[in-house]
Amino acid sequence: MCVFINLLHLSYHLWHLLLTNKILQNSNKKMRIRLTRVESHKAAVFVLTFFSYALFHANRKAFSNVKSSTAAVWTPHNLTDRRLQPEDLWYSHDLFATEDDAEKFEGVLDTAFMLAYAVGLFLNGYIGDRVNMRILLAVGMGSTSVLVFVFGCIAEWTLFYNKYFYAVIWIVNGLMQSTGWPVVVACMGNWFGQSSRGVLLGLWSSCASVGNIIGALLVSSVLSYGYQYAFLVTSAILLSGSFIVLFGLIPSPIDVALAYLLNLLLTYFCCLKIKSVDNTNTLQRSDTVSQPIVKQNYPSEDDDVTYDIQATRPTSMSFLKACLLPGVIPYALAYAFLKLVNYSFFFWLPFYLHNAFKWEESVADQLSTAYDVAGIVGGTVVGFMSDRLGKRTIMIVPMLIFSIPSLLLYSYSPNDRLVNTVLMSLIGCLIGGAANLISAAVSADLGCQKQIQGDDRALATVTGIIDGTGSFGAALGQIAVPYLQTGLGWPSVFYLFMICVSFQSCNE
Amino acid sequence: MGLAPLINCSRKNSQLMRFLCVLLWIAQTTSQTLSPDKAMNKATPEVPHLCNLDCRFDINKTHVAENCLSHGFDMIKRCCIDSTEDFSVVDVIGIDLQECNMTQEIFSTGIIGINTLQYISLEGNDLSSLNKTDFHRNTGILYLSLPKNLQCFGNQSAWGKVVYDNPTATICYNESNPCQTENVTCPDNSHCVHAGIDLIECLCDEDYHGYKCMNKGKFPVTPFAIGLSISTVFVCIFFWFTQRRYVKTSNKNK
Repeated sequence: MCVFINLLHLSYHLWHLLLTNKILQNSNKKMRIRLTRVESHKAAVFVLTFFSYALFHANRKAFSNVKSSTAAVWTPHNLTDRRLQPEDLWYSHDLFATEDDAEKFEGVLDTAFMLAYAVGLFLNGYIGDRVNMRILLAVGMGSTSVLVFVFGCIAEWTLFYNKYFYAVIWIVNGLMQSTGWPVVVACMGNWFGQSSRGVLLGLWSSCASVGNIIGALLVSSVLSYGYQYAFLVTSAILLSGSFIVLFGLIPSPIDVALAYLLNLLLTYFCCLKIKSVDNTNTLQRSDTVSQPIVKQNYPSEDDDVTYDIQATRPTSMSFLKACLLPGVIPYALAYAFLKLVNYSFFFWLPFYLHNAFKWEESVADQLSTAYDVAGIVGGTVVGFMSDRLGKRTIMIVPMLIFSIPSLLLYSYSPNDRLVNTVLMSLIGCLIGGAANLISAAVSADLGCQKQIQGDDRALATVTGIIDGTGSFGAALGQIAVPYLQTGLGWPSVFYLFMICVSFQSCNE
Repeated sequence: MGLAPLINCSRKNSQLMRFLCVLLWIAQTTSQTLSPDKAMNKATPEVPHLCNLDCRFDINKTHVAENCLSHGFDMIKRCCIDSTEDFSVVDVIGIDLQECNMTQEIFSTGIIGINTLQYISLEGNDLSSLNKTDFHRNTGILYLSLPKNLQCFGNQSAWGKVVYDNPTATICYNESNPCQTENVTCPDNSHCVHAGIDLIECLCDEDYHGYKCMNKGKFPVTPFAIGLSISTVFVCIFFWFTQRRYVKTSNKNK
């Protein structure tokens, strides 16, 4: 709903702008029609990018929620004193000897996926700035869907259980899934300018959590039919999503070439550079970060001002150049540590609550969503405030600094559900919020900052670099946390988190 | 044939009835011509080849034969047979193979497909390697006599009564159901089924299926596929109409 309030807010600004713009006064009626169209484009981009990333996440969640089922399918029945008959029914699958081994293998799959995902983010960010992002996203979604289908359904139906086969499929899946983030952030960055980006992208970052919820609901509703149907349903919906993206997504306002409207909307759009063929009248707007310069020709007789405008597609920036943009490397490194902490919380919080406080698993699952929700709220609120201030770093650094004592506090949290949930939400707000902000809004800011001269396009590349580095951090965390926890206990995990957060605070 | 009582073919009162009667007539004649032996060969039912073994021991007055006749079944060669009138169902209730020069292999392969045995006599044969699985899925054995050198199979609770002091045989009475006599717990979604002498199986409960009985019900693939495809097409059309229709491939003048 907030989206629509925002769009209303936006349209009010547009209308205001329109009324004060004397050049366009004579085409009022036409403008009104065009304006609703632009809003519809923006709403569509918001919805499409939101749900395509949510569906990616639903597919990931599907895997994590069927883990115990797949572990049971891959192993023979655990030996009791009496051997059960018939043998085929209870002992015929022997990919692993015990469910423990199967779960360890699933942990390896998770890590392999994360590493492939991190590599893929760099690659796909680079590719994203060079090809049609709509096609790239649709292909990424489609191939992910096929891979998940092969992993979950084909292997099960043909009874082909093979460790290496599963590992290869899951690594390729990581590479294909990484098309998602750089592309959707770039599309959002293209359509929503810096002044509204913080709050909108903060809100929009909830797509991952919404995807997790969609995935969990889908899985729980079909898991009784067999784990393969959990994969079937999520992958089929992802496939249909890829078709919808193919038929609906407009990656950039430049594609609809509403040149005379672009002039109006430049406050809200970012990475656009428009050149006209010949200039008799020049209009300059300088209230955007990217400072696009619009030169437009207004014909006197005809009130249809769309012609005579030529929008040129900018060229793309090299990978190295994108890395060297100011702020990219510091934020990427900071995000690596932050995502380590954030993802570890995602994956380990329910287990931690269950393990350390002996809460029931279902209770732990439910309460741990507080972290997620607080992250969305934190990201949106701080995003809104940073929009107003016009600066994001000034908001993020205090958040990270405050998160260190709160982590310490949380590690001494008493075995009380209310106190624990409140502290958990505080950390979610600070760490999850900052992570959401960096991965989306800051990436978009950095990808279209004023240092990007000429026609270079770097939005997807920069997003890929930042999130890719972050994912490496998350992968390291996935490897490190279980070892720390079993070897040194939970406090050591929290110390690791605090060290990571301090590192990134220094980095900012 | 089963349809005949439902359709009264003497009263040809409607087109449909007449048509059905013609169909019925065709079905009856073809079934008779295609399987003539079924209609003609009414004398003896086909019995398993185990019943045709050549044995020295006289079949009359054996325990198997006495019990068989007293329950109103027929003795056919070495077997006690309970069959329906048209021999569509032929159950082997008892089998007497005393002194038949039979080996364990002949017995084990010959008994495949028979699971209604109640009376079995096997003494007088060299069957030292016979074991409980050779009896396959016979779960209602009331009387089993074995050569003297063999013991009743399974543990003590597998039989109601065991007699060892007979001069020629070891006799096992009343096979018991291990699901009831032993404390068997099957995994989730499965239940204990008596599968043979001292043998149980854990089979899936009703509605459950698949490896380890983990799956329940059948996923409605067709409704899901149709529903998803149709909604995808509609959403695609909607987005194309409201969005990509406006995309200009080249920015040419109007």
